[in-house]
Amino acid sequence: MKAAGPAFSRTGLVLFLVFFIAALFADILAPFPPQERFAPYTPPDGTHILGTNDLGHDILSELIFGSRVSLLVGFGAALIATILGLGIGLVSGYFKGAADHILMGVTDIFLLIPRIPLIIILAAFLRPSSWLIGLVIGLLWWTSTARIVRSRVLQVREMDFVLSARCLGFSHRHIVFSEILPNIIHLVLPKFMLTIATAMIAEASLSFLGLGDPGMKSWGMMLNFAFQKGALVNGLWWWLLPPGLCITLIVVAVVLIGLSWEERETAGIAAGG
Amino acid sequence: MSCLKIEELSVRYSTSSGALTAVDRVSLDLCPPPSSQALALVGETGCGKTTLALAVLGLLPANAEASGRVLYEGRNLLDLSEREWSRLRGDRISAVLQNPSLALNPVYTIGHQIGEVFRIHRGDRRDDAYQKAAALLERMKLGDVKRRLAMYPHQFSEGMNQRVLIAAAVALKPRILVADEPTKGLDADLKSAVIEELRIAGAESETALFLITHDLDAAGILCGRIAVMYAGEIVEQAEARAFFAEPKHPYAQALLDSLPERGFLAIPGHPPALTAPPQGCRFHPRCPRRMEACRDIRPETSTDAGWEVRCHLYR
Repeated sequence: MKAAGPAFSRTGLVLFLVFFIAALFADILAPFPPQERFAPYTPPDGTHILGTNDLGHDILSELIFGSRVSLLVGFGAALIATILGLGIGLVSGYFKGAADHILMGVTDIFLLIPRIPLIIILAAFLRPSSWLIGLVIGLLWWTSTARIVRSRVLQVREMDFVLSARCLGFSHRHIVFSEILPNIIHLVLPKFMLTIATAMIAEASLSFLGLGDPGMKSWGMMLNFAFQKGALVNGLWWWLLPPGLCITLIVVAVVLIGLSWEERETAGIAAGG
Repeated sequence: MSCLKIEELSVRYSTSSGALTAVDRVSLDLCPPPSSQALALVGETGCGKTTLALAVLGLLPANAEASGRVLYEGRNLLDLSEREWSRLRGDRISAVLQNPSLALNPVYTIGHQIGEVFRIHRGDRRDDAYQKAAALLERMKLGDVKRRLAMYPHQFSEGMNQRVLIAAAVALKPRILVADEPTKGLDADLKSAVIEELRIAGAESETALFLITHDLDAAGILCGRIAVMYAGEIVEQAEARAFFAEPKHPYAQALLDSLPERGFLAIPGHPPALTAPPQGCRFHPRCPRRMEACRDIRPETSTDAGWEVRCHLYR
């Protein structure tokens, strides 16, 4: 287990960097602009490494540009969810009392919401857009972060250095953000990575269901088109396989990083007694 | 000038097993030098010492309720808002708590934590605050200051951390310094080092030390006045030298007799539960000199030339 830790995180990091660089330098790395048309249904060859689709778009180029959507939605949603969860957990755990009751009540309500059906309904009624999906995922996926943060803050707030900070006249705001937050942030980072993975899967699933943003062609969207145009029936594997693989790989990368951080964290706690 | 006057202070906790009076009508005066000397509050664990300290610092937990008055510069500290308190605490009234290694934030360097006091209360820039922290630590004789400032609390020994805490507490030359068991759990050498530190800090910054301890040695060395607390009440208050020579209250006598050099005699029985303190004198069930009156009548405090005793023997 111990030997596997670094290997896992390194694999995850390398994979993640590959996708990250692809998204960042999509304009340079993509062999063709995503809208340029060639002969449709071309199998992979020298010019089109992953072939073309029904409209003659180069699939490799689409794939590279699609990574932007995945990463943006994933990061954006995870950022919103983490900030929300962190804020709610900190306030709830530090101030306890009425604030805690209300915030944890709200958390319970959010935990009860069937999330994917809700997003489907929202996406169906509102104009589908990647931003909206990211925002909604972010607004729904903060509950477990809030719970984890709260329970840790409840412990940390009783530690002597918090009382000591009060003795020195530091304000509640200073204590929450400068004394307690640095002591719990390590719990939040792995959670952040796992939320990215969840958000990317949710985005891909929704896009696959046809609820994605038609303006920003994500991997889920590519899969959706491929299915609609009968890629599976006609054996056009180069159209179906790459986006599916990409989704899997980036989620694996993010999860590997998150898990290795989490493992390091628990190992630290175990070692620290 | 700027004395701290505690008048008839009571603190009641409401707990699941009923109400509990941890501090019962306590009155004490504390003035910075030269007008007065340091005050030591001594007593067994659980007699309400720490609750009294927290009340003076405005840090009582939510289930505690304080009545009476704690006067400082004409204001009753019990009425202060949190905002007013954060201006006062750490600046005019400061504190050192027990468990020094746990009282420092593990994720920050020593320099950062001492500097924080200057940054928050004086609005100093990071560099200036660091410089002032260095100057402060220089006086504490902790060796290579530059290297020490960049170290973390876990790299320091218990005694070093205690000195860092004292440094942070006296950084702004407070008028009042509350020290709750500062020598608890330290070995003899470190104990005398910490005592020396507190003495110097008090003398240099004209700080009135309010020492809360069950360490009678430390109390004798550091403080000019001694107050003895038993089951939430002050039972005796006197000038230190006279007190150690001839304590008056039977509890104070028993407390001194329990010191190794004075016979190592244990006090029979246990301190009473504060949920149901005994009727009459609270010490009477353990008192070797109890009389009929002690059982039913709560003794009043009698004062004789600054020597206060709460006992039926001295009326």
